Amino acid sequence: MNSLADFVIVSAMLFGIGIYGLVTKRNALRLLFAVEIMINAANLNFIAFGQYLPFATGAQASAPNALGQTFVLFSIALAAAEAAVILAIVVVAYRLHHDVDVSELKSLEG
Amino acid sequence: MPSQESLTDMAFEIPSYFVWLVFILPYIGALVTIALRKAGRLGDYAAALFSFLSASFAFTMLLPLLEGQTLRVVSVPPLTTSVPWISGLGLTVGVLADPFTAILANVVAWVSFLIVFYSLEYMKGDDGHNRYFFFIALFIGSMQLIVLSDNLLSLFVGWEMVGLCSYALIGHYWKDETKDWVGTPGEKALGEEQAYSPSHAGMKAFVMTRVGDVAMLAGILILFYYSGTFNYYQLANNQNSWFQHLNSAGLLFPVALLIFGGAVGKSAQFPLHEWLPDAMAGPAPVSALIHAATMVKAGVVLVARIAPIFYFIALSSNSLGPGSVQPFFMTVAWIGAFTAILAASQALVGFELKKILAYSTISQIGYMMLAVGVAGLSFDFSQGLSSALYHLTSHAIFKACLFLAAGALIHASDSKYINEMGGMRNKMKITFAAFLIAVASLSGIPPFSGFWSKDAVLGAAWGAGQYALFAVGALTAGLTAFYSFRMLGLVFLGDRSKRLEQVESQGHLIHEPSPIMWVPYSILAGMTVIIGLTALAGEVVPALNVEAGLQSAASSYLGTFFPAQTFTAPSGALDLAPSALTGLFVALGFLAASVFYVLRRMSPTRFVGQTGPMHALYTFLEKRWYINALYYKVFVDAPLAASKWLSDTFDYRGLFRVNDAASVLGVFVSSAGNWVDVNIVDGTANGFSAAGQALSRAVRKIQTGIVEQYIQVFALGMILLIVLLLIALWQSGQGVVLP
Repeated sequence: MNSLADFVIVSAMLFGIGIYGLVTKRNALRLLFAVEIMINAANLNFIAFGQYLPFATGAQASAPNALGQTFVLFSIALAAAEAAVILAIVVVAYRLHHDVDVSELKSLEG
Repeated sequence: MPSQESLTDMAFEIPSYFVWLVFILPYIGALVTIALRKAGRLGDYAAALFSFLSASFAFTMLLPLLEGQTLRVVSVPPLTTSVPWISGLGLTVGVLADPFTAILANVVAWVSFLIVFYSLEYMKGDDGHNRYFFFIALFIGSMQLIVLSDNLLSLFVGWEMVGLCSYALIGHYWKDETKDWVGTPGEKALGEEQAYSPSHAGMKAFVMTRVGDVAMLAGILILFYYSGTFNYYQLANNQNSWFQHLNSAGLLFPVALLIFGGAVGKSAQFPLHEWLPDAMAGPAPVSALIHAATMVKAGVVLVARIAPIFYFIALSSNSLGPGSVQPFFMTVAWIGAFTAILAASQALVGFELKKILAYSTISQIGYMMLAVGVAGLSFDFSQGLSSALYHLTSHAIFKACLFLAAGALIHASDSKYINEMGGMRNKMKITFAAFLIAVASLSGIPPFSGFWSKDAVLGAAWGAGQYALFAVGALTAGLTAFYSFRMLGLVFLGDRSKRLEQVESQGHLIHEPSPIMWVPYSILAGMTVIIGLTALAGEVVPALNVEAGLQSAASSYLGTFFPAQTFTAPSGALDLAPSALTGLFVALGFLAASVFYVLRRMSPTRFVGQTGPMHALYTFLEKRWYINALYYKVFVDAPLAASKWLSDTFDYRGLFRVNDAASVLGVFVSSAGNWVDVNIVDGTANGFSAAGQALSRAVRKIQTGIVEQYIQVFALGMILLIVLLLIALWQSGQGVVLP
């Protein structure tokens, strides 16, 4: 369980679950969960590639790359902010429609 | 001629600007007149004043001649006798100051002044009086320009300007009221109307003289082409040997004739004489000034300028001799003689007072042309030339007198027909006296001026050995005596006509005009007597011999051009044979007129009869030999008919059809264009927009707003991309090796 491929496969599975959630569910909160899962899949990829694909040249050659982990920290922060915004929208939508089913919220349709 | 030394001693000197002022002052007068157009009659007086000033300056040229001295002009800078004009061609414009010119200028100036003075009364109350005096002043200036010019080009300028003034003044009564018409409306010859409105008459005069003027301009320009000059002196000096070149080109006779054509038109000589009788539509003083005393003499002046040049160069030329120009002088003399008898015969039967005088004018100018013509056929050119000048002067005076008196008569009797007057001698005694003197002079009855001048002309013809020309002239003198006394008898003698009585019963009393009118023609009549008596005295006292004096003036004029020539001393002797023959004809004419119109022993109506050869002749003369009618047929009706035919044939049937076809074609082409617009241009534009709409309608359906579907598509697309990437990697053989 130590090869890069393993992490990538887990990440792909998480992403697939997220997609599945987005496609099948209509509840806004569930969609939020699905998006969070997909973000985490991406985060996992960052860390995995940062660990297994080190700098190609220079003094730090073959040393683990911390850049991936740095990105993940930002990503987690952004995901938290995003979740806050989406939850706020969901709360407003519920107040307006007494429902969180996204198929009912089609007033933005083009 | 006096020697050079005594010439200097005796010369009477005048500054050269005096001569210039003679024609410049009337021009200034014209401008002043027009400037004063709002100032009532002030402009009229200004015209008269400037005319008088001009005449006074002209008189200074005459003073030395009267004292038997030689005229000498002193050049006063900056106005010399010749100043640069068109520098590109090296042309100068100048004035002549020789005895011949001085006499001409004085005749023009003083007769003009008297007529302008007369007009002050005659034109009083006329709406167009300012226009009238403007044109009169302009006319006097232009006429003096013709007389005083030392070259053909500035003469031509004056020539055209007098033509314009003549046109404007004939048509003075431009409203064309029936009373101002010339001729009797309804009178027809060959189906052509013989009465004309003033504006028509003016146009007729303008167009007809233009025919001659164009010929003259062509002649002058050909002359310039060969000689390189318009100046008389340079022409007389045979500059560039133009005479020989012209002769070898065969153009000598044609060019002389072309220039003579201008004289024929302006002086109303056959075949361009028909405008003058109808020019009588203008006011009487205009007829007196322009169509009797001055403008119509311009042709004689022109011939008197040009003919000696041809004559003397031919004379002095070794190879050519006088014979080379004989055909030209023969033509001039015969045209003059024929015109004289043609017009005199028409005057025999006329009833319109002014028209009779017009025929008479044409006839008398014929005499002058005859005189210049025979001058070139004789050995003594100065004799013919001086007789032309003599007759010109005496005719200007007595004919102006007749016209002015006629104006008074027409005004008093309210009719232009002599058979509607009659018995006016009691009511208008002064006019009768003046008219009688002028008529006697015109008829050639001694001792009046006309007798001497006509005698000089016919004597010149006799002296040149041209007996046929003399015979025509003598016969014409007889006709002249007849029509003159016929006119006098019908107007003044006998009983008053019914019409006059009718007019008087309406309160229009026949009376003498105001002194402003009768004084001028009395002065003219007096001049006729004075010239006549001086000439009579000259038969005894040589110093008073007018003919000899004029001949020395002509010799002096010719001498300035041809110093190398010698001129025979004028004899001035009366050749009795021609005088006696002429006198016989005059007496016959006078007797016939006396029988019919003075003593009234025979009725002219019965004499002519209603049928027969006399009546045919009468009709022929009355219809102006049918020449006028023929001109209208050929030059007016024929072109009109031709243009009507052209308009019917080409315009209506041809051009209009083409026009219609063109418009139909235009409509067709534009409808085709319209179809292209609607179907192709608009279609393309509409097609684009319709296609865009259809496309967007189709594409809009994908935008369901259902997030799941978007995600599905997104996921499927991503999977597809990954698969494609993998396939591409596999294809390239580069596997991805993960650590």
